Amino acid sequence: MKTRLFGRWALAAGLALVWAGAAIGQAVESGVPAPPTVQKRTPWDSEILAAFSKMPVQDDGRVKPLDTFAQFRLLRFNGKRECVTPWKETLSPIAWLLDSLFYPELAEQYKMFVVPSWDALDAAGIKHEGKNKRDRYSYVELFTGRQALMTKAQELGHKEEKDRTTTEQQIVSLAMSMRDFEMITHYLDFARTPLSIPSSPGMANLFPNPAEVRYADVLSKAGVIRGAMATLQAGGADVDEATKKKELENIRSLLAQLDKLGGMASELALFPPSVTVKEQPAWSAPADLIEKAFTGEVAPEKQIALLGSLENLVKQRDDRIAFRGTLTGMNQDVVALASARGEYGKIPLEVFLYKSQFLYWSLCVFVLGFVLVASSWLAPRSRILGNIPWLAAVPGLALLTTVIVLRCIIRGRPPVTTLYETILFITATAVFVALVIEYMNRQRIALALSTLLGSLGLFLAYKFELQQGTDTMPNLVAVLDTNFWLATHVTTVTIGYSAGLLAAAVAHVYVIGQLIGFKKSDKAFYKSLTRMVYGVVCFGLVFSTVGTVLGGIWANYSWGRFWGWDPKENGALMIVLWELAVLHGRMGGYIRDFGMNMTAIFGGMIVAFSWFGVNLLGVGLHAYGFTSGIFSALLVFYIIETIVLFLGAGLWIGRRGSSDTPASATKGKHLPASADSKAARAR
Amino acid sequence: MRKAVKLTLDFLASYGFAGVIFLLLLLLVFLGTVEQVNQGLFEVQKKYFESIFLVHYFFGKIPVPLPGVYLLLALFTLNIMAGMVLRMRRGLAHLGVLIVHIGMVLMIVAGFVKFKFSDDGNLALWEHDQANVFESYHDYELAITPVGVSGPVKEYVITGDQFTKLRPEQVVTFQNAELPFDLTLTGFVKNGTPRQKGPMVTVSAKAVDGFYIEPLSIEKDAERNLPCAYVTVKDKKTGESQDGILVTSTRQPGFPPVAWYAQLDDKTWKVDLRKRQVQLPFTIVLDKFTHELHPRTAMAKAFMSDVTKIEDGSEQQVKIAMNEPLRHEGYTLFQSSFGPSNASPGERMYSVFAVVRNPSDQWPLYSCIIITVGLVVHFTQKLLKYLRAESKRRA
Repeated sequence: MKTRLFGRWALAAGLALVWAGAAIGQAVESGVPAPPTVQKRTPWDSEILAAFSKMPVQDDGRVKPLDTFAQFRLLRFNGKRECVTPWKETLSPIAWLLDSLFYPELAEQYKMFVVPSWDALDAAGIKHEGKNKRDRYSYVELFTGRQALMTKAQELGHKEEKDRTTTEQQIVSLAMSMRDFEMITHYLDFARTPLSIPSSPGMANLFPNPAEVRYADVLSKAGVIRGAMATLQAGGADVDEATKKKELENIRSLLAQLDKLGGMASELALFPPSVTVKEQPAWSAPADLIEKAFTGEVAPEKQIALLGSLENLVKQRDDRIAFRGTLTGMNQDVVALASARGEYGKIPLEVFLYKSQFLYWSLCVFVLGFVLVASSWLAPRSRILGNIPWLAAVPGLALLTTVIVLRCIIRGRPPVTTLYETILFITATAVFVALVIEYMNRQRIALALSTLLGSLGLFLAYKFELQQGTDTMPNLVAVLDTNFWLATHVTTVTIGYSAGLLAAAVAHVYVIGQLIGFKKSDKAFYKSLTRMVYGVVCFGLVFSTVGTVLGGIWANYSWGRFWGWDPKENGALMIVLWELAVLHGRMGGYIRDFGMNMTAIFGGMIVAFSWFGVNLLGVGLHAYGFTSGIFSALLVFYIIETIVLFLGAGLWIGRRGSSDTPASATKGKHLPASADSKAARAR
Repeated sequence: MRKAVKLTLDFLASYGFAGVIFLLLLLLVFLGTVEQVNQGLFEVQKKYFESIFLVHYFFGKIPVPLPGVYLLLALFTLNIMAGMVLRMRRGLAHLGVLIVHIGMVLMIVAGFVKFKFSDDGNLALWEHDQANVFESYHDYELAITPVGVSGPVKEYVITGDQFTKLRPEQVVTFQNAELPFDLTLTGFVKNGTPRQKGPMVTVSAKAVDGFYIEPLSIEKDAERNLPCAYVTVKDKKTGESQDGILVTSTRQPGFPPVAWYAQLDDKTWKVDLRKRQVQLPFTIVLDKFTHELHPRTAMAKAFMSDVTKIEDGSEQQVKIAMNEPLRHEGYTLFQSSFGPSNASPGERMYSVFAVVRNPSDQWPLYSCIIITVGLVVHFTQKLLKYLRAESKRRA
């Protein structure tokens, strides 16, 4: 039942997106993009960029900085958070957004659309001769195939994402990107196009200076216009019939103009209502104000004033001083309104989070740390070299933890609520546990792994964010709206994932070390690795078991059943079952040191299946966790792991065949291989 | 003999046996998960998780017989019990392990009780409507009631297990001394629809009043399957027969009543093939359904139902929302769905509640607490031991 519910919303959302662009599509399809009236514009100064960055906007159901909106839009279009103009100026996301809003004719020339393959272009008849695969395309270059692209995307809109081919998905993505870009570039069309005020006594009375009438001026008189219209329609005006008819036509003509251009200004809801969040949760875009004004609702004065400021900004785009002045005033008003509703407090923090680029620096520090660890192996007895990597691993973890904490504060949520956040949290947990292990055994192995896992985890987070191209702090669906269960079940189960992956990572050192003959004669070294793997598997079992059972209890509260054999539930259960099998095998003496490490590597594959693999199946109640585009990455992971397991198995079989290894001496017997196998001895 | 018993007990209590059970469970859970792409959850659940034995076709071709999860869990329970009695070492050092195993037994028992003794289904209500029955998701029944009788009406119910496993060519006749007729079912299909025969439609199937039953493919979402059958009512006195087509009726919004009526003498009898109905010990009235979206999106922020629970004349206002079910008299009502999906503001809405009666409802929670305590005790002991060993090694 719930699957249908989520599926229905997903389909509705998809269709709504297609529909949302229909109005703009009509306007765009009517002609080719306008040639630029200027070849270059004056650079935006830092004050303007800062003011716009912190300006709040309601997008995807939450209030966020305009900077965040710009970052994820540009990331989706361009595959990176920057854009280069034809005159070689590198633009930040907010500068790009400003260009797209205020200089759309220039922004349409920027090569900023990434196209993963040429199949989508071929399908739409867009030329790509002379281009390399990695080259970007400008909107103008793509425009020739726009109509074909939109038609195909609309047809594919009725097909579920999981049923589309790669090319079909690319067609839809490119069409959506173009449409979203148009929603931005045409957002201020209403302010760029002068209103044509019909000449008549009634209109002259309303607008004495018709050449300078703005949308805001018309909206501020919406009540008067509505009243006049009603009077004229009722035949109550003290004028002759012809005049009445003419005045009515004039009003309708004016409303048609408002509707035509203003209707396209719906993408950015920049105007907070003057009332409380409970009374009116939704912010307004210019299109909403126009609709409100002429459907009988009272057009809020403050929002109309903000609309006027926006129109002034368009007119002042080449006059930076005037622009800055208007922007400052507008920003103050928006912030005051948003603050009064309690929706602005975390905006500066979110701007700080993204501007500080903590994740990027954390990744750099982890990579540096790994290089330092590798260097320390050249002088294994040097204590100084051995301790230096701590200086990278700890700050790397601190930066990552800071990001997680800041995200918790901004969202008012526990650390893990989305698939993206699982990557950050699992990485941080794995690094932390590895550092704790290193602190306990000082072998430099866990230290090396902490930096390696930190690097890999953050690289994965970067790629995932890039692949999704959407805000990583979205609103939660109704069923997830419970901090208690997010904090308990989700957190514990992801710690379980983290432990499974860490155990697999340590086990790789063991197996690969054995394969290449690293520290061949140092049996204590390998014993220590096995102890680490064993310990981490035990640690993982605690969290996986408790997390899985807590998930069942949550499901019982939410869906009415403890266990529903849903793929995500099953994935977590598989981790528990595997770890139980391994530990019982170990206790029974069936799994010795080598086996312990091999099984831990296999356990890592099960974690990957549970973490990402089940999302590819596209079935189950955890529809909000579905994702696409990770199949190839997962496949590569499985191929590598299978090779490692095969090589390991080959080595093990080879050793069993050799007479001078301890294994051969116990062939066919289940003798304990470690101190953990007392139970077997007791038999 | 004693040796054989000892060997058997030793085997049942062994780590190896436990390990094999875990691996088989792992395999079945994996297969059952992946199989959900091709088959619906209901079918997968029956085949892999509620079965004793099954045959899985690897790569769709190679048949491999496997034990079902039901059997494996029974064996696992035996393994735990035998292990706790025979193998587990006593003493404080092993207390954690003992606690964990007790928790696991409780968990499995909870699952068994749920499997055997629970009821579940759903209850759909339009705003201002009331009901004191819910209908099962997957069970069916045939209800026979006289129509137009004053006073209490006796309902004769034929339970689904007596006819839902019939093949289309099979015939089954039901007799009841209190009823003036015998009832025969044939042509039973698990999912079907009546179609009209006509000049352009030539089918070999039996037709009743120009209609025949067209079998449909089984839906992945098993709730959507609507069984159909041909029915014949034979008057015990006259021997006259009346034929009809039975189509499953459901109380879900949007489904009109489809019961079949038989006329015998001056009495009308309603024959209703329907989803099994379960009586609630109280009545629920849906006062209001509220559906909130995140602003400017189509994403659900919250949906909740304001209901009145009526029991023995007393009324109580309750809110049922996501993660906030109503628990009463052993029944739990959860917010599950709503409609119409395209309702305009102010339009009358309906709300769908999942209803569960599960005697072991809270047992998993107790089990979780026990397992957590056991794991923490055990692994804390292990960690301390490890730390002591490391400190000794470094010294």
